[in-house]
Amino acid sequence: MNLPDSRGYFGKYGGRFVPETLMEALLQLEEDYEGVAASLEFQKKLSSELKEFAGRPTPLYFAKCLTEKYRIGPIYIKREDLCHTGAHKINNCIGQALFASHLGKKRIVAETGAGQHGVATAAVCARLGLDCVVYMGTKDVERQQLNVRRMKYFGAEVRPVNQGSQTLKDAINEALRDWISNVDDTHYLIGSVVGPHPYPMMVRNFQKIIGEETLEQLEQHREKASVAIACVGGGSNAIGMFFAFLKTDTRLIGVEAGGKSDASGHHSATLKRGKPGVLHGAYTYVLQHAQGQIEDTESVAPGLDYAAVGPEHSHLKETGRVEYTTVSDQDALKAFHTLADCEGILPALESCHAVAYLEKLEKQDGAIVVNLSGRGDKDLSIVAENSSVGVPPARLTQTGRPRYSSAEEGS
Amino acid sequence: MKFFPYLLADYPDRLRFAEILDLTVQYADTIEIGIPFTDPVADGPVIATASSKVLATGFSLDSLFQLLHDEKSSVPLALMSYANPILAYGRADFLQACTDCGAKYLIVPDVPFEESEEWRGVTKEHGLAWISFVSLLTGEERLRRITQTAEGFLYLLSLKGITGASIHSPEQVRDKALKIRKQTNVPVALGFGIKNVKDIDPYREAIDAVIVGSKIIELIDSNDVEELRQFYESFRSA
Repeated sequence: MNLPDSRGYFGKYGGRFVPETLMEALLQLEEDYEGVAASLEFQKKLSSELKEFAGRPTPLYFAKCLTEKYRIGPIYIKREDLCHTGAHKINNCIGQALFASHLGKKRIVAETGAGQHGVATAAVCARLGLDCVVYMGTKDVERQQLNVRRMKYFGAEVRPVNQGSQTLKDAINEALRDWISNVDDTHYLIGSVVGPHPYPMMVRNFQKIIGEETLEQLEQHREKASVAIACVGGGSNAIGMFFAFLKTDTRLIGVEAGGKSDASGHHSATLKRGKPGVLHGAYTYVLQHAQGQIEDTESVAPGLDYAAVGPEHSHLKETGRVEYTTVSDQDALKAFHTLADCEGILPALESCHAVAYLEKLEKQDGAIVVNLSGRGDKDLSIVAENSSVGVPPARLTQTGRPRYSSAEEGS
Repeated sequence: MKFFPYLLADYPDRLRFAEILDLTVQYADTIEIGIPFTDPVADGPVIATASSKVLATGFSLDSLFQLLHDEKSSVPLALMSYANPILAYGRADFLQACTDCGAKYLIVPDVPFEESEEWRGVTKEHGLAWISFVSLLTGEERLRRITQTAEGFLYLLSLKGITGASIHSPEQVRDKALKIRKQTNVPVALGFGIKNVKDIDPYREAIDAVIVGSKIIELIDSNDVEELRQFYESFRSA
């Protein structure tokens, strides 16, 4: 059965839990999406923008050094970090902004945690000539200054949010309030597979290209994936990778932010530690206290710092098709240094959670694919603050050869 | 014109909430009691900030139900909560507790008509009326379906926005209220954006009740009970 169903449910998760003011807009959005997005003209335009503006297809990179280090695999990295603006977020932003333009909307509001979605939204709005307001928790504004500057260069207004935990959850609240107040001329460009129907479906459909490309590229490498791994905050890069694989027998692993500890407020492990509830327009897994108040969250990766998760992930957890697990801040930081030192790639701290899980994997029969959802330039100050974690010794040997050089390279 | 003031549970603290509730009973036709939530997206900064303050002091639903039970309000109560605290408490248990403390209506702003069928059924089983919302943007077809199932009163949102904002188009609001009136006998209560009694002048013939929230929270913040009493008085004699 194709999910979601006509009411926007993935099994028992999803739906539309929003104030009445937004309902007509959501119903219209769904109708227009099904009409416009399916049209040949729209698909041609989308395809062209993804190629010319975003830089797709992104490579499926053979991580030789990681493969040798962990003695599993071969390990491949899907390089979404090489997308324009540095993350997979641009795929969805191009899709939704083109769609909003079709609907005649001139103003876009968005939320951002790590800043990657904000930067992608701002860039696409600059390209299409749309007004852009990005809500961002004050805590995230402080730790993602580089991305705040990027958004401003693209002409976006960044509005810091002082409420609550001052992170992604609170930015979403403010973006929703803005949308409720300006629904006539504004499109809310949600950055993950969260929110009320049709957003989880729409964002998934704009991100599923990641997995579709990966399957094609694996075929070119004459490989079959035994495992695909992706990090999960709201879950857009993960569903983007997993969706095409759902029909295969590849083992799928979503990695949440284990944060500092399992204590309430010290992690963002929604699927592992949350329970079903309603937040931001959907019935899904939510981190919450006994009386239904939403828990604060924490992660070294701002983009994973969120108390809910896309409803499709809740469904995939319950059906058992995807395994969801956690990786701690410490292990994610260690993975940052491993990938930098070993492969010459600076990964986003979000993606480091997926990379870190490689250490926990036993030997597999086929290829292992890790989705590298974004690049790590934005996180360098966070990594520097935690520089005692996992920093490798100077890489060069006396002969000047890399420590992980293989016999083949040496010959 | 009926007067439905909104109070936030346990605001500004437990003791003063009980005192304000006693005062409010003297002037209200129905009292809406809001249950604080960490993420109240339909509410503006006044109610959102007040909710955060209540939650920071350790709010408990059980203790609210106990207080309302002990108070035995002589006017009907409308309990307002976002969906998640109700689901976490257990929907049936929550509704039973509402019934036990004398509540008559249930208002859940993030459960729209399309998601409400099951909620309406369970609410009815517990003897409470499920309150439906209509906004200025609610289209003809949905309005017809909403009015057909309406019970208690219909909550008409006076603006495209959040609580505490201002009404920009009184004519649109009046037209919507009159349209609802043609489709149902259920009373129409206008909420959001009413800051003083003059604000209801354009709607006197079109609505049955007025709901006031953010302004009351602001008056509570000013800690002037006499001013709050005069505010209530102005609506009582409206």
